Amino acid sequence: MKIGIGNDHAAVDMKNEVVAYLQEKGYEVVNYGTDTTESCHYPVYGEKVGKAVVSGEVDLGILICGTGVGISLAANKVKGVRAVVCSEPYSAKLSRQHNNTNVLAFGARVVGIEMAKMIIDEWLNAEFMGGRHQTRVDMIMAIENE
Amino acid sequence: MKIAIGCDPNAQKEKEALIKFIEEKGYGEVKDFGSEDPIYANVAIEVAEAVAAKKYDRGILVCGTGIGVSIAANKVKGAYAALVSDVYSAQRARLSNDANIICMGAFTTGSKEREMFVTEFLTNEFVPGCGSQPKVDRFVEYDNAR
Repeated sequence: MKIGIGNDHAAVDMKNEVVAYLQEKGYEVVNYGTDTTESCHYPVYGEKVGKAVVSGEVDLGILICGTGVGISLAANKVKGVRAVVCSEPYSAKLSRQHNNTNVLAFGARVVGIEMAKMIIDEWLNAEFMGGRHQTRVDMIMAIENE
Repeated sequence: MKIAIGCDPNAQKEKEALIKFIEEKGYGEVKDFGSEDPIYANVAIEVAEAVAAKKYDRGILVCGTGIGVSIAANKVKGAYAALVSDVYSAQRARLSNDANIICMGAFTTGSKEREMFVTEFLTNEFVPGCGSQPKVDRFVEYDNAR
């Protein structure tokens, strides 16, 4: 599985730790984020990763900024993206099972690195359940296509 | 207010950031009890004894999860250490439980979260005679009878 990762200046260290963690687990990781702590604009990276996921360049996306909020809002503007911000693993898991999220976001200033890893594990290991959840996800996508 | 702070090697950077934050905010005078000892119980007991002896008004302890330092600190008579991972609990640790030590995890929480926990913990005062008083009295009584 190929994962696209994006981040702003607040999350360079955490991004690097997450990339190493994912690679150790055997995932292929494409880095779309910034690698310097010089102040930058998070929407750039939210959009890049969002587009990479929707085009199929990568299978799923992970985004990190200070809180995860701004970068997820930007990603959610890309048609076809369903991005979730999580600060604990349960919502991350359910967001895939029920909402079929294709982008996960969290905050480098909100969660610790081990919490981040658990959030990622639950999210990547969960599978969309379909059925009635498909109906609801279809309804969301219908709003986007209006 | 006099504040005693300590951590294990897993949390040195996080502790230093908190000291800087507390000093900048002017919450009190901070005494650093060190970060070098991997046997986290040593620094936890040292901080807890200093707080229990009323040499310091509050104590702050950080390790990987905050669990080990909180267990160790609570072994000291007169030390009441609350392990927190959310801001509401950090506030209630003072208002409901009259805790004199707060413990946090460097791997589980983010830097800005920890700053919020510390702010709630240092700026709230237990109200003597409040509804929580008899509940606090019970564990203080048990502690003192040991």
